[in-house]
Formats: sequence, structure tokens, C-alpha cells
Amino acid sequence: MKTVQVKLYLNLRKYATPAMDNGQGPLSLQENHTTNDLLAALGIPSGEECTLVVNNRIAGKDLLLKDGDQVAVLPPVSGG
Amino acid sequence: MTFSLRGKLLDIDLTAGKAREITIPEADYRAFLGGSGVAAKWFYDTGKMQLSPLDPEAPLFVMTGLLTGVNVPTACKASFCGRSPATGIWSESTVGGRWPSALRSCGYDGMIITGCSAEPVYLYLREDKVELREAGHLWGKDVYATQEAIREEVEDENLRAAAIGPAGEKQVLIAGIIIDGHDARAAGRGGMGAVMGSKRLKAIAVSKGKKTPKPYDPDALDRARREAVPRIREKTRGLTDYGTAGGVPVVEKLGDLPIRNWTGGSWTEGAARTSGQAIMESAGVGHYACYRCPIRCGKEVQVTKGPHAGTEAHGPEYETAAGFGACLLNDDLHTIVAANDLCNRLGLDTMSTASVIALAMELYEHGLLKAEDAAGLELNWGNGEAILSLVEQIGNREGIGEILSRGVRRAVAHFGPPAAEFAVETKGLEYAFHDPRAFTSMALVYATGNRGACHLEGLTYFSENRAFPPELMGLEPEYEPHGYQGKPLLAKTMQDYMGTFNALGLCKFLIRGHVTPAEVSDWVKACTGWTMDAQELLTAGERIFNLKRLINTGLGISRKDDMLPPRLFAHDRVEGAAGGSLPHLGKMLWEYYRLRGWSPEGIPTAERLEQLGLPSR
Ligand code: SF4
Repeated sequence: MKTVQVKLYLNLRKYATPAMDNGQGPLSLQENHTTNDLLAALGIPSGEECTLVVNNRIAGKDLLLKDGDQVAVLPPVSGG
Repeated sequence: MTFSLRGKLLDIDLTAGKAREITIPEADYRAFLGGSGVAAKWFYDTGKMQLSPLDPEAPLFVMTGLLTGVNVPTACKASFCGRSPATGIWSESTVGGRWPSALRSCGYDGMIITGCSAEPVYLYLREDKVELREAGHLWGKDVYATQEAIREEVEDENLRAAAIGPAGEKQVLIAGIIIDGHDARAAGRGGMGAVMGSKRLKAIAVSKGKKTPKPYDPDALDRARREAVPRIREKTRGLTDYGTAGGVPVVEKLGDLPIRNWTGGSWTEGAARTSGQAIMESAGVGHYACYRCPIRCGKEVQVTKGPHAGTEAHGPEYETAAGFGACLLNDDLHTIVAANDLCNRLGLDTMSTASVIALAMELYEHGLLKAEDAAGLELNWGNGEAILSLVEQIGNREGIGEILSRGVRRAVAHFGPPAAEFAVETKGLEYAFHDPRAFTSMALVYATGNRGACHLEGLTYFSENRAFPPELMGLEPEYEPHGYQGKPLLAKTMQDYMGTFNALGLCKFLIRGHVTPAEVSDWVKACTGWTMDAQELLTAGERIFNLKRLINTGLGISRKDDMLPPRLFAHDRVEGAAGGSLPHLGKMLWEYYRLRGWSPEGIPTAERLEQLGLPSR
């Protein structure tokens, strides 16, 4: 098992788990889990557009996550 | 078949104090759609492009869009077009709110204003009537007070005005035109407020009439609108709740925020403190929608700082929140709110004003500008008192504001080396606050933008970030954010599409509601009775884009000007999600010019111009 720190932004906060506070908190994953698995674990459907930023780097959907990674899950909102 | 959307155009000579009505041929509407498209066509045909922008004879085009006022989602815009005194090239500054549809309801599609009045005047329009009225008593008043005074004078409490404030009167080169008084929507960019000021034209006031154009096929339009509006509402809920500034924390995380005059990589806490959510929680009092808009991104807020503390005002949008926030390292949202309100009252472009203040703060940091040069102000990053004071000095051209009021390019020329290192502008226009190092297609959009460093001419960060999925335009679905593959086609395609919006009078946030060219062309068909498919619409956009380029190449623009400033081109950030990224501009330009049918020097070729039905000079 590994634990990553997740921060959900704006409307994606609705996918927060009970262990999270204000869309932010830890999430436990299997050792072989990727960013895609993280989305599945949060129950974010594949049709929901979002961008992942892992440790301040934009990440693809198949990045293998490490224990302690900081993962931001962002909706496609980019100001005006 | 009748083309029922056409109104009259007013040709106004302020020197002679005369107006006459003219009619735009339907062929011009078909080829250039309306709004800034038709304005570009008429500007090109006047042959007056070479006149200095502040020459009395230089024309100012005020044009509503083809669909403005008709019951089409967000059909609310008008554009102020001509040659910019800030950049010296083509400029169009577009605004929504309620004034444009009121103008159209009087039976006018717009006006061409030339000449200069001997004394200050304002134009007063009613249905089929135009009057020039004395405005000596309004000169010096701020934008809000101007509309109020005209309302009382003509006894119409619903009157709407497009007005300049003291900044435009004093020909501040970053002055805008603000409409709807206290509701304050801004045609900010390019210094068009200075053009109005140079003509001694304080305002264009309009009492609503009953001549709003009728669509050709109301039933078809009704069906199309019913299909579109629920989807638009659903996809833009974030804009409705928090306004465009709701995006501040998201773009910060993507490395897209212009932190500390574009040098900082991360500012997470500051972004949270200056977000649309924070603004609405601690200062919000309500929501605001432009005419016919189902999105309602406008916000109303309480001002708690500065000379107008205690009043209510239009809330800061993303660009203003990012400019007066992250760019100045100011995390006090109340200062942002007050700066926004001051800019609106004085008639200043918030984006250029924040940019030139960022320049001043960086000059101060490096000892090139001292407190004694700025009336004793310590221009430290984030100093809210200094920010508000500089806004007033710029708007009134007082003290250091005299130099800063000329915009970044001219201010840099004043301060000398190495000030150019801190300058963030292209073709003389200060940048919008989305970083081309974070979404590299934006490097092309900024470098080739017809009015200078404009984000709105392409908005490709929406595509790259999938707020407007690129496959809706028949493009590749995914792009490497910091790469360059596929980006020239993305930039060109989106520029062609976005070029139709200012011509049609539509708000570009429609793309956040996934509105496609096929859908827009259906609206145009239902409104006009023309045959028009998505491809024809995009070709019109391409024609409009090329015509503006033709105006600019006539003014000396070529590849040498399609550049990024050194800070965005060669100075990568050390941290944040865009850390280490620099756009491959040169590589992308080759492909971009090829797709455009332009020479390697960035000049439209005779063949492409002919294909588009444009003159080959
Ligand atoms: S989305 Fe915002 S700017 Fe656009 S028309 Fe609606 S209220 Fe106006």
C-alpha cells in the first residue's frame, strides 16, 4: 500500500472521500496504482475532464504514483 | 429573401458637427459578418490607416455584431476599432453589457466617427435620431458620474453610456472606454479611450428604442437556442458561481499565473486568497449578466479600501485579479477590488495598468526607480497603498503616472537599460495574464495577435486544457502542454473561429459551453436566411484575420514583430508546473505561416489573399 496526498479543485471537490477535508487529504492506493487508478478510486468518471498535477508537474493518466506524492486534480477551468 | 438584420451606420464628423446615415452593403456583411470584421473592411477601404491614431481625421469605428441584440445566447457585444495610439497598429476592443444592444435597438449597427470637436461633446442616440450635445460640464467627471449626469439631463433612468473617464480625456495611452456606468464593462485594450479623448468626445449615450433586428426564421432560432442553453449553463457553472476569477487557483497550479511580473513559479496561498471564491466570500454582494447571457460571469462586490470604500462596484474578473494580485505579489483581495473600481471610474485598462505597475515595482526592486521619483511611495511588491496611488497617478497623468501612463514599451524607453528585461509586451500591447510557457500554443496566439499580445484572439489554453475540447474543432484531442507539435494548426484554427465572435457580437466564453462552428453557423442561418455552414463561417474568420494582418503589414508589421518578450521567450521559471518550459516559437512560426499561406517573413501571399477574396494590396 501507499498513501498520496490529494487536493481536489472547484467542482471536483464533490468526489472527496470522507477522510478528506475541504477536498484535501490522504488517499490509500495499491503499490502498482497509477494516476488513472487514482481517478477510479475517487470515483471520477472517465467522461469528467480533468488535469492531474503530481508534485508540481503536469502528469499523464498512466503515471505510477509513489508513496507521499502530492496530487492536484484540476477541472478544465482557466480563468478568462 | 430579405436580410432583416441590417441597420444603418452613422458617419459622424465631429469637426463639422454633422452626421449622415449610410448603409453597409449585404455583401460586406456576408464576407466580414459585422462588428470588428466589417470595421476592418471599412477601415482598409478608407485608406486612412497611415494617419496618426490621435490625428483628428483618424476614424474610430464603433460596431455592434451581426447578431447583437437578437435572441441568441450572449449576443451582446460591440467593438471599438481603429488604429491604436498605444501600439500604432490595428486595434479592436470589444465589450458586452447592455449598451451595445441598446444602440442596436435604435436602428443603428454602429458609427464611424472622425474629426475633433472644438469643445467637449457627447453623442445622444434615440430611435432613428442622433444629437451632439455639449459636455463641458461632464469633462473631468468619472465614468459612473458621467452616465448618472446624462441620465438626469435627458430624463431617462435606463439610459446607457459608453464613456471615457479622466484617463481618456487626458489621452492616457492605456485608457479604455467603459460602458453602462456603475455596471462597468470595459472596452479596455489598446488605448481606444485616448482616441475618444483626442476627439473631445466624452460619451456615446443611448436611450433604448424598438428597432432591434428580427431574425429571419424565429422558430429555427428558438429551437437552436433551447438546445444550446441548458448545455451552456451546465458547462459554465463555475463561471456563474465565482466568475472568471474562480480560475486563479487552478491556473496557479498549472504554472499559468504571472506571479511577480512573470518570474515566480508557485504562489498557492496567494492564489487561494485572491480567487473568485475568496472574493465572493468576503466581498461579494451579487451576480451580473450581460444582455442575453445565460452564463452570468459578472460579479458585484463591496469596496472596502481606497477613496471609494463603502460603495458597491463591479467585481474583478480573472485578468484583473491576476494582474493586481499575482503579477504584483499582492494577496489582499480588497486592494484588487479597489484597484478594479478605480480603473473603471478613471477609464483605464486594468490589464495594461497592472502590467505597467509591475514594471515600476521591478524597476524599484532593482534601484532604477526610487521612492523620491514616486512621491515618496515605497514600491515594494504587494504594497496595496502604492498600487492604489499609482492607479490614480496613471489615470490622471500625475507624478510618475505621467511616464507609466504611456504603457510598458514607452516607459521602458524612458528608464533605459536594463528595464527592457522586465518588459512584458508584444507589438506594444501588454500581455494578458496567461503564460505562453505553460500552454505553448499561446506563444503563437500572442506573437501573431493582430492587436498585439492578446489572449482572446485564440484562447488556445482552453483547448489545451480541454475546457473546449479540440476534437470539437476536428483537431487532435491532446497536446503536450510544453511541446510544439500540432500547435500551429491549433492556433490558426482557433484564431479563425474566435475572429468570427467579435464580428457576430458573441461572447467567447460560449466555447466553455462547447459551442461549435456548426452551431454558430446554424444561429447565423436562422438569423439571416443565408446559407452558411461551419466551413464557410471559419473561412469568414480566416478572411477577417488576414484582412487585419494586411492592415498591419501596411503599417510595417512582419515576422520581426511576431515575437515574445525576452522574459517569456528565454527566461524559464525555476519552479511550478511550467518550470523549465520555454516555447519553441521559431519552429512553430514556420509551420504557422505555411498553414496561413504567408511568406516566411509573415506577409500574406497574393494567392492566399485571392482565395479569400481580399485585395492583394
Ligand atoms: S459570459 Fe460573462 S462576459 Fe460573457 S456575455 Fe456572459 S456575463 Fe458577459
